[in-house]
Amino acid sequence: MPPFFATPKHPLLATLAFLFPWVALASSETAPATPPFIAAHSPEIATPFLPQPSSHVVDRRNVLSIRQRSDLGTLLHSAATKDDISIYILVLRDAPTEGVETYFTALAEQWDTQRLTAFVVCHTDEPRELKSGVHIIPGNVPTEGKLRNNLLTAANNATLFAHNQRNIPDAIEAGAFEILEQYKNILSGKPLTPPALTPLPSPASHSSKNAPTPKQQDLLPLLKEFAPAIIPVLLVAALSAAVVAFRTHRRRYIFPVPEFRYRLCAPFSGGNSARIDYRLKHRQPPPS
Amino acid sequence: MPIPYAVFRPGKMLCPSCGAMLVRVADECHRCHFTAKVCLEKYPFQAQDLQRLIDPEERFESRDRKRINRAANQFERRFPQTAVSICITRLPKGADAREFGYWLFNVSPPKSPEAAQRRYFTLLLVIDRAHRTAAATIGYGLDTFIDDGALKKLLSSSREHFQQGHYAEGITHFLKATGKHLRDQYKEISQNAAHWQEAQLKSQSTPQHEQTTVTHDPHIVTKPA
Repeated sequence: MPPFFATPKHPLLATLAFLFPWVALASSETAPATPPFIAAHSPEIATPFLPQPSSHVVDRRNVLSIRQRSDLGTLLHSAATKDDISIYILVLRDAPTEGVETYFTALAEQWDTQRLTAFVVCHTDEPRELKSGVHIIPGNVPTEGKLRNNLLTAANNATLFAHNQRNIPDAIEAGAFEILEQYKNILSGKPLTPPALTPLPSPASHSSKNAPTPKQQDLLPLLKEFAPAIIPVLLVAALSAAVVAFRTHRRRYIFPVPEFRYRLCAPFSGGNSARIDYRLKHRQPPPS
Repeated sequence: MPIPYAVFRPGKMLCPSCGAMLVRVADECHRCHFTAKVCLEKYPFQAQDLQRLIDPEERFESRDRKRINRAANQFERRFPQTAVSICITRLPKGADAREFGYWLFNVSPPKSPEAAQRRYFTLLLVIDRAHRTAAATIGYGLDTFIDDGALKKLLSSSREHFQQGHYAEGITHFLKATGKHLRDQYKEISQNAAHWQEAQLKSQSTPQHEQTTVTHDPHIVTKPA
């Protein structure tokens, strides 16, 4: 049964899905199952069982570039298979503000009972606070003990690290890298590093195309700062160029009036003229 | 105040009848004794008004007329002193397009003083379909800016169009070429005129005893009655 049928929101939609099953199938293929946040608003409601997302990166809002998605997906998949660390990136339109941790803890319990799990959750309903919308939430947190403290510290460190980034895709990417590093430290028994001391991921692992170069990093804020001034300046320049072009095109030439020298006793023209003959020249017959 | 003729360095001019080089102020051609009077005797007709387009045979279709009018309007807008007149006809045997143009230009009566003033800056193009010749005549006002050689070059640029019978194309091309020639000349002409006017102002401001005597060209003659 396609997932569309699993949660019919409206009878009409269910009918449509029955009539056009390929639409429902297609939607199930393109968009992996995302945990609904309906339950999160009312934490007392039991979290429904949800299948594990097919991908580690669920970007419903297209915040990440295709390359970033692919790179992060590969990295997190390898972390899940090799290091036994499950990290999910969920970019959603509106995430609940309350009861998030409870919800994701419950989810993690359902999905990965034995693993170290974390969710890099980003909700984009508040564009002005994009970076603050990135949260790293640990899953499978024990009720007490050293591991609990470690996990919570790692998540906090990673969230802080994400908030220090320039924009939302960087924040998501950095948060994912950071939590992965922190979890690896936990697994290997190393002490957790504070976010400021955490080495940045290697440039090769980053998406080289989308990562801004130092020059771009310098230019972008400048451009953003001066954009309101640049646009009118450009408009004025374009307008003046158009005016100059128009005036050149419409320019009028008024010649100075010379002294007339009357010739051949004529009142208006003294015979200043020319004549051409435009007769077609016939070919001469070839000599016999 | 009109600017002296010599300031503009005009080119040479030829007699409309025999093609001999004319002295600037000649009352008649030194070779064939051609004058306006002789020309009047040669064409003893009532001259037509010098309109924008004289086409007695109605050779042009309305589309061609529109095209020519557009080109002429553009020319006159660009050079507000000038007027364009085009005559396409079949001249009788023995008639010469250049002579006919000269005759039409001078004999056709202007309707108003303004039209008379404008006539000095008129450009007349005569196309004789009988003899397959084209001639261009200009007034005294344009004498200093286009000489006979330049006119011939400008006309020659449209020769191909005329040969193929595409008269409208030929005329528009001629007008465009003439416009370009005048635009090219404009800078030098206006500079010369400005220099001369500056010199005049300076000479007026200097005391009488220090003034250099301005030599007038003795060849300048008055307008004939």
